[in-house]
Order: sequence, then C-alpha cells, then structure tokens
Amino acid sequence: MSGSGFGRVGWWGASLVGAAFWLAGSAAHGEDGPVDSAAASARGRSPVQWLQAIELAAQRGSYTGTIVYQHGDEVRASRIVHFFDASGPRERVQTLDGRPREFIRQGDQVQCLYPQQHRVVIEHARHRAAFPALGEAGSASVLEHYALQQGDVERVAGVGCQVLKLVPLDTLRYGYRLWVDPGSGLLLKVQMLSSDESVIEQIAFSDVRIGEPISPAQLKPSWSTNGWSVVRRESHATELSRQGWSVTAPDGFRRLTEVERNLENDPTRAALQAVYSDGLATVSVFIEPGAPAVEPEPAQRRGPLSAFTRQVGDARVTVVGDVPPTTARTIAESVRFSADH
Amino acid sequence: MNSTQRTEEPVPADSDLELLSAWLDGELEAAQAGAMVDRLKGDAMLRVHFEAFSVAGDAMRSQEVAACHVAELASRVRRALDAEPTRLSPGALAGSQLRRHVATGVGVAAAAAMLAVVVLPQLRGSEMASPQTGSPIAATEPVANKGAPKHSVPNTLAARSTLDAYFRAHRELAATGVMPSAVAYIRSSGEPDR
Repeated sequence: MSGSGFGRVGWWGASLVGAAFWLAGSAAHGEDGPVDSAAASARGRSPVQWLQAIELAAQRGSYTGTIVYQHGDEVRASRIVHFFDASGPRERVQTLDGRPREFIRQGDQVQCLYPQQHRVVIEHARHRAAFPALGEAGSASVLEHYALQQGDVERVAGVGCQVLKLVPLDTLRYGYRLWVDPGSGLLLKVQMLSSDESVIEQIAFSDVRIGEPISPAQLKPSWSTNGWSVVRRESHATELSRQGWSVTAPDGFRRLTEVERNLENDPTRAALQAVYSDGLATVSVFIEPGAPAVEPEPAQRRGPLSAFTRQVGDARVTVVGDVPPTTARTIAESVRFSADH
Repeated sequence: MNSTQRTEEPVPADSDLELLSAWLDGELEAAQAGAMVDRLKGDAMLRVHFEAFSVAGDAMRSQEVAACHVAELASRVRRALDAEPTRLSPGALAGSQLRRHVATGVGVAAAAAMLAVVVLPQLRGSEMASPQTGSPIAATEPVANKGAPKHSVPNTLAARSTLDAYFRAHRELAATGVMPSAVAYIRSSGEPDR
C-alpha cells in the first residue's frame, strides 16, 4: 500500500471542501464531552465529504502519536510524527519494538534507516502512484464500488470518533471500518475486513496529539548515518503496451503508474511494474521477461497482501496487492503478451 | 499429535544453520543467497530445517499465517515454549530471533525442543493433509488452487524467497488507501532488515 505519495499531494488531498473540515476542526479536543462534540461535528456530512475530510487530514494534517498495528497474533507499535507546511509533508516513523529502524520522509524521498546493518535504503517517489481524480470526483469514484455507512460515535485514544464502514459492492475488494476524528478528519483507527467481516488487520492510535506545534528536532533521525552504506531504489517510467503487454484490471481499478525497475536492486531481476487502484485497494502487476519458469501454485497471503504468480510465455507474472487472493489471480490471468504491438 | 514424542533428526552443521537463518532474515548478499537456494534444492535435511524455521517464525509472528501450515500451530508453539524452563520470553521472540536461537543452539533447549516436539511432527502431519485443512484462511478465502499439481520443493522455496521483493516493490510505488501513507512502513516494520 502506501503512500499516495510521499511528497506529492495524494489523491485524498487537495480538496478545498475538505480543507474547510480541517480548519474547522483543527482546534485541540477539549476534555468535556468529546463524544457529544463528535456527534455534533459529524452531523450532516455526506459520504463524499467524509472521504474528502479523511483524505485531507491524512496528507495535510500535523499530528504526533503512537500507532499500534495488529495482524493475527502480531502486534507492533510505532511512533509517528507527521508535519505539513508549504514545502509539503514531512514524516518520521520509529519502530518501538523488534529491531530498531526509522522511516524518514521528506519531499519525494523516503529514507529507511537500518541501524543494525548501518544501512540506509532510499526510496524515491517520483513514480509513486497518485490517484488521478481528486476531491469530489475521486471520492465519488470510490463510492461507485463501496457503500459508506455511518455508525455510532466511539472513543479512540481519548477522542470521540465517528465510526464509518466502507462495504465493498462486490467480492473483488476488502471492506474497511474507520474511526474518524470528526474535527480534523484524521483516521484514528482502521480495520480491514474480509468478506465475512473478520478483521484482517487493524491499525489504531493509542495516543495522538493533533494540530499541536512540531519542532524540527522531532523529524530528525535518531542516528547519524555517516559511514553507513546507502542503497538507492530506482525506477523509470515506461509503457507496458509498447512492450507488447496488456493487463485487464477489474472494474473500478485504474492504472496509476508503469515503471521499469530491478527488484531488490538486483541487475539480474529486471521487471516491469504496473500499479492499479480503485481508490482504496492497490495492486501491483510485475512482469519479469526471461525469469526462471515457475510451476502453478495457489495464491499466497501475507497480512493483508495477496500474491499470485503465473507464467506467460517466457515471462513470470506476479500480482501483489491488498485484495482477496481471487482478485490477484484474476488480474494475473488477464495479462497477455502480443508480439505484434 | 503426541506432544511428548521426540523425533531424532540428523542436524546440519551449526554454520549451515546460521547461514540458513541469515538467509531467511534477508541478511545474505545476492551471491550467498543464490548459493543457499541451490543448496536447499539438493539438501533434503537442510530443507527440513528451512521448513521448520519458517513455520516457527510464522507461528511466532502470526496466528493466521501459522494456520496455513496446520491449525493451532501458533498456540502449540507458544505452549511448548511456555512449558520449557527457559529464560526466554515467548512474547519477546520474533521469528528471526527464534530461528537464530535455534540455529546457534545457544542455551535454547526450549526452542530446540519446540522444533523437535511440535514443529517437525506437525510438518509431517501437514504433508498428509490437504494444504488448507483447518486453515481459517481457507474458510474465508478460496486460496487453494485445486487444479495445481502438488508443489515441488524448489517452487515453494522460490516463492518464499522472492515474495519479499514483490511486497517491497509494491510498497514503494503503491498508492495509499484510506490510511495515512506511513502505514505501509508500519506494516513492514517487522520485516527483516535489508
């Protein structure tokens, strides 16, 4: 998944309508009656306006807090500092358990710091996908494939949140349950739901401060990286069709970007990557001409991500995304090659 | 499965197991990793340990993933660790740490016993069962490919060793959903260093 973009206004962003929600709600939450004030803030907001408010807060809000991630028995905590000003978003994520590592985002660049390896992996977002439709049109597009249901008001991290549910209108996608701070629009808790509504993963703030001043020191890495090895992940824009490839994505999934790259910076693993999204779920299609042939096998799952690999001619095709395994397989089986391009 | 039954298995050299563990953690250079894959293709006993390390790691990391191997495996692994007189805290063992302890055999009777008592017998049992038998994933998601032939070991190895690369590449370029973009990095914070 990830980032509509480090450094660019994401598809959730740039909505003046949403900005109104952010500005209206950026004041600190009082201790008296957060649930009541949440209910008042939520009154009369349409589904499109809800999505716009969430979009804007995710990209243009400033907040600090502790985020707890849970998938099955796996629970991890991270500290996050997110800051936005005229130069764009800046962000620092620190893991609080397991191996120490930090992710520092500034502009189009994310530095992944691995102190035990003394290694920095730099990811560039020049070709990171951005959903093409912003604002009302983008939100409306999402709502062609998900129904937004408004639930009760519940507290998360001490904040009265509006519970929203995005119910997929077909079996191609997962559903989501969202806990939204109505004032800021910030998501304070998210659950990804399977077709039987069991929770695939959930992410929640255990504490959060919204709209408070953030000092530059809070965005700096914990370690000096002098002398560390530096690995740069590079990709270059391309068009799959020019190389004879076509992918038929399911209804609602739009092609966002197509690149050439080397997987894991391995020069022997050249791949084409096309990214599709329906506005919530995102899928990557990898095509590796000349890769060693693979035998058919079932789709794989890891956390919320599914993967399916098949052989098309002399190329290995792998589809990865936060969609049900059947969707990954359907997309993989739609990949065609034509030598007459 | 009788949890008190122990199975004698020839054990590869510690250095081989350490290399295997490092490979699983993504800590080998490309050439070393390729050599490890080649060795695994030809060394049946090393493959058994590869499977055991992987299952143990899965069990410690995730109930759901462990259930791909056999139902309640995660609970069994945790119970086995709980029952051992060891200073190690099960909750503190990430998959890679567990493997490393098992690989080096340093004061880890509990983990070694867990492998012999729980994981290896379970692996054998799971080979006789349907791949998705008892899996909650199978109950909710039609993952199984009924028309596919039984997996060859090399294919399984290749799939496991290469999926990380796809997940990482996907994370780098994929658009965000409703969640803040940092979630992608939070999700991957338990991955091996790279």
